[in-house]
Order: sequence, then C-alpha cells, then structure tokens
Amino acid sequence: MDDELLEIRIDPSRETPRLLEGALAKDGEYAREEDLLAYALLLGFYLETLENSRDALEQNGEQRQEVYEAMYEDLARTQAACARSHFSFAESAGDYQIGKMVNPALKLEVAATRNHLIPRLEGQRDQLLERREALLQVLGDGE
Amino acid sequence: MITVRLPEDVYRVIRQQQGADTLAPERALQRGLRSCLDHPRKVGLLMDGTLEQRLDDLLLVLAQTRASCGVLRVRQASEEKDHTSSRKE
Repeated sequence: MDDELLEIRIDPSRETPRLLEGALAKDGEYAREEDLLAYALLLGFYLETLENSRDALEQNGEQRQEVYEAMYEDLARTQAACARSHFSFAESAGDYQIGKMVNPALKLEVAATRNHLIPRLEGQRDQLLERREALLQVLGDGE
Repeated sequence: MITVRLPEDVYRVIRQQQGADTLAPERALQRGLRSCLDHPRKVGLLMDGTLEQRLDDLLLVLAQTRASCGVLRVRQASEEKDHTSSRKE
C-alpha cells in the first residue's frame, strides 16, 4: 500500500488533555496516544460528515427507510474494506501480529455479510416481530 | 501543539464533502474524544426502537468503522515507512 500521510497540527483547547486521558482509559482498542488521536479526529470528522449527508438526504425528500438502507450498504462496504486491510496488514506483518489481527478481520467479514442482509430483513421487521411473539407464546404455553 | 497523522486521500475526501470553510480539526477532535467517552465502541446494531433511533445507532457505527479503517491505514503506512528507512540505513 502506498498511502501518503498528512500531518495535521492542532492547537488543543484547555479541555483536550482531560478528554484524551479519559478516552485513553476508556477505549479498549487504542492504547497508543497517537492511534487514539487519529481515531478521535477521524471519528469527529465522520460524525459531522455523515450527519450532514443524512440531513441532506432527508431534506431532498428521501424516505427514512431508504436513507437507512443506503447507510447499511455503506457500512457493509466499509467493513469489507477494513477486513481486507486487516488481512493484508496481517500478511505483511510479523507472525506475532497475524493471530491478533486476522481474528478481528474475520469478525468484520462476518459482520459485513450479516449487516448487508439486515436491510432486507428490515422490510419484514414487523412481520418477524409478530412471528416471534407468536412463537414465544406457543413456547410459553408448552411449558 | 498536537500533531495527528491521517491518510491524505481520506482527508481530501472529507474536505470535499464538508467544504473547506466548515472543516475545523480542533472541533472534530473535541467531538471525537467526547464520543469516545460517551459512546463506547459498538459491535452490534440496535434492532429494537424507532427507525430514527436505529438511524442514529447506524450513523455512530459507520463513523466508528470508518475511523478504525483510517487508523489501520496510518499504522500500515507508518510501519512500511519505518521498515523502508531502516532498510536504507
């Protein structure tokens, strides 16, 4: 991979050290400060971008269900891309990294497949909930 | 001053989507750190609740997944760069 990295310099606010310390203690994935900073900055950007695009879609008269399904498809694509990156990184890294990274990659692949199916099931959600209720009732009656 | 490394193409896409005028790294960093504290990383998605609640949940998971992908690319690029420079030495 030939990624070019960009260095962004940020003048931290008074609140930043406290937030960073709290986030480092709470986040289970990134123990390194530089990873958590990159994650938090991207997370903030993506939250803003996604909210803006969701609002724009809704203002354009898109139905909530359509917006939801488009976002699910985006999630499935993102998870699949993430899984591929994990896998290629694990392959190029030392042995000690492979076990640590392939498992989450496989989990993401599974999640991507599952999440791709959910939008289709969403259309039948009410029907499925009714069936679940009926089944639970039957099971309860059988006890 | 804090220095944060991001993949250049990712930053370029975000700039295009948000518009250069509204892009404020300071604000985004604060928002991301607050989100780390208030919303732990989610694996599963909410299936109960209203469609609006499920949209909020989905938006958070999508943002978290995209951010994780970005970090992975930064680490990969950094390690490849370190590896190349140590081989040159």
